Amino acid sequence: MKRAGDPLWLRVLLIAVSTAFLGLFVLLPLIAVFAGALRDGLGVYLRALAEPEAWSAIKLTLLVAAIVVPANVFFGLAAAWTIARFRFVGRSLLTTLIDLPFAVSPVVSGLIYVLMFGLHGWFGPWLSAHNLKVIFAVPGVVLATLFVTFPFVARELIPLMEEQGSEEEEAALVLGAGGLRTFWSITLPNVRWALLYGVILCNARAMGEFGAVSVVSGHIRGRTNTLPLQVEILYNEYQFAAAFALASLLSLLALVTLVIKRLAERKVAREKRAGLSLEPSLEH
Amino acid sequence: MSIEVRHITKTFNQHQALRDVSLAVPNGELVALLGPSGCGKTTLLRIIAGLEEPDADDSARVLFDGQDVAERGVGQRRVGFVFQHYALFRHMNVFDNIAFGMRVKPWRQRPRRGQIRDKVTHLLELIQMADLGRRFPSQLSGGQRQRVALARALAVEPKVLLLDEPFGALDAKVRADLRSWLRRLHDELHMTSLFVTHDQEEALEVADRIVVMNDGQVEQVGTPDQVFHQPTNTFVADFLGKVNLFHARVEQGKLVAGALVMDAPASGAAEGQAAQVLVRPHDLLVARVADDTAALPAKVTRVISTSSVVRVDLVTTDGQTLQADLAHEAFAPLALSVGDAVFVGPRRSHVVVDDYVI
Repeated sequence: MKRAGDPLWLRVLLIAVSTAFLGLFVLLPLIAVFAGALRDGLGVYLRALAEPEAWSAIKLTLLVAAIVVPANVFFGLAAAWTIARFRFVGRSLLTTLIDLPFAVSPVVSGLIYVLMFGLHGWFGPWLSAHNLKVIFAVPGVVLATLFVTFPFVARELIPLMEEQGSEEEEAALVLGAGGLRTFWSITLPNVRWALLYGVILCNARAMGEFGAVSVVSGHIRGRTNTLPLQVEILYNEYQFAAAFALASLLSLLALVTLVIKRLAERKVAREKRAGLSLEPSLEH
Repeated sequence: MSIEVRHITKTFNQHQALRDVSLAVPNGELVALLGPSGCGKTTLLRIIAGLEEPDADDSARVLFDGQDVAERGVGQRRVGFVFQHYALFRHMNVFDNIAFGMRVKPWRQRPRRGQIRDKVTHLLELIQMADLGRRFPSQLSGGQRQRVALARALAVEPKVLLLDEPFGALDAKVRADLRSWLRRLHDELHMTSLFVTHDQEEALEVADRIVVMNDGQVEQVGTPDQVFHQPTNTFVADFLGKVNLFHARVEQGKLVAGALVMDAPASGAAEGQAAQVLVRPHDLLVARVADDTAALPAKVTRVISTSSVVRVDLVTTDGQTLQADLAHEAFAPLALSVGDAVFVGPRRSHVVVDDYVI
């Protein structure tokens, strides 16, 4: 939007500064990742991805996401439903708790689980007595990721569901629809884009999480290393081409996430607008 | 189907929205629940629909045709409910909105695809929106949304129609049209209907019977004529339109309010008892010269003659403001203007002896 007061030189300066800043600190590193990955040729790149350890890291990352994202969709929907639809004691406390993983450093999130499930943790003796491993094993990685990514879905849904209210659901119930039917044909379609948006953010974080996972994983090569952890190991061992090759996968994921996020954002805005225009209007 | 509620109390966080309300709606009538906002009328409607539960009480009952429906869930009561903000399904078009109730029926009772289509088409014609089935709610005007909401409720062939502030969110012109349309529709379908409103004009115009509510209780039930002309207390009188109120006392068989002396009602209030004399603006007589009826001195403060009656605002010597509505023919010979000293008195009045405190 053009404002009368801003002189041309100021506008040009501001645009130039922000473009240069973004280019220097965001775009250039992104290009560097792909350049570094392909520095020694496509053959090296593909071989780096096909390494058993790399391949295992990719599979583990996908596995973690495949467990964490559906779980958080479920918990997120449940939490959002509870908070948006009911008034109860402790409601604001619950709302605050949902934000906790955002407020806490990921390293601390990981340590919490070590404290609980580690060998000397609360449940450690019981777990080792039953020959179950959580810390330094896949379950720990899943738990830590679950914790860190919990807010994404719930946070997207709560404001939208609060704004939409429960009248449509009540209307469906009065018309004879059961609870499940109402959920599938009214509640879910009304929040589908916000849900998708939350899922995408949740997925991106689940695949990219470093801190919390690093604490609980134990860095066992080929077993408990996720992609970000594998990248760090390779980098520390001066295998730059391999490190960048894996990093490029994560960057690609980021780019795809951004595109879908952009689309979903637009749809969410439309959902909200549709909601607003359903408010009492005075025009005929 | 007749509706009856008995001894319904409903409490929200220590606030009593309904206090021991009992009410009967005869089969086929169009009844208005009228009251100021917060009087509990919507809560009562939602309890009848099954969207809220009354406070647990052994004597609390909701009866449809004499049968207790407490055990029936909201989906089994076969009520049509029209929400205040319509609650149309925003991601479905008009056709799918109307068809929803038929499509969610259990498999055995569900009409076939063709039957559903015919029924929706018929309903679209009924609401004069035959060509708009593919529109989405956000593409409709307020009046159209309201009619779709009504068609959606009617599609499941309810026994009872419940409407929450059906015209509340519409502008005056559309509201007037929809009101008379609803009345005609009711005359065609003869379905027991209960609608909530805070607009006394709407209730008086549309309903067969009006239930006036205030502060969680029923103040009066009656035909529009009864509640308008024979209100049982000053709240009802005041809520159903402008009324001039005179505080009177019974002295020697007469009602005395300052300079006004009126015949006591036949029912007879005891000597010395306080009573309220209610005079509608069109029953307030204005005269240049005092006589037996127009005995109270007053001063004209405002004259508005741009309506079907001339409205004259007055103030008595005690500072009480009054309103008189005069026919133009009656106003012409008086030729009142602001500041004129006149005498007023009731041509006709209604007396209530009640304990309602304003």
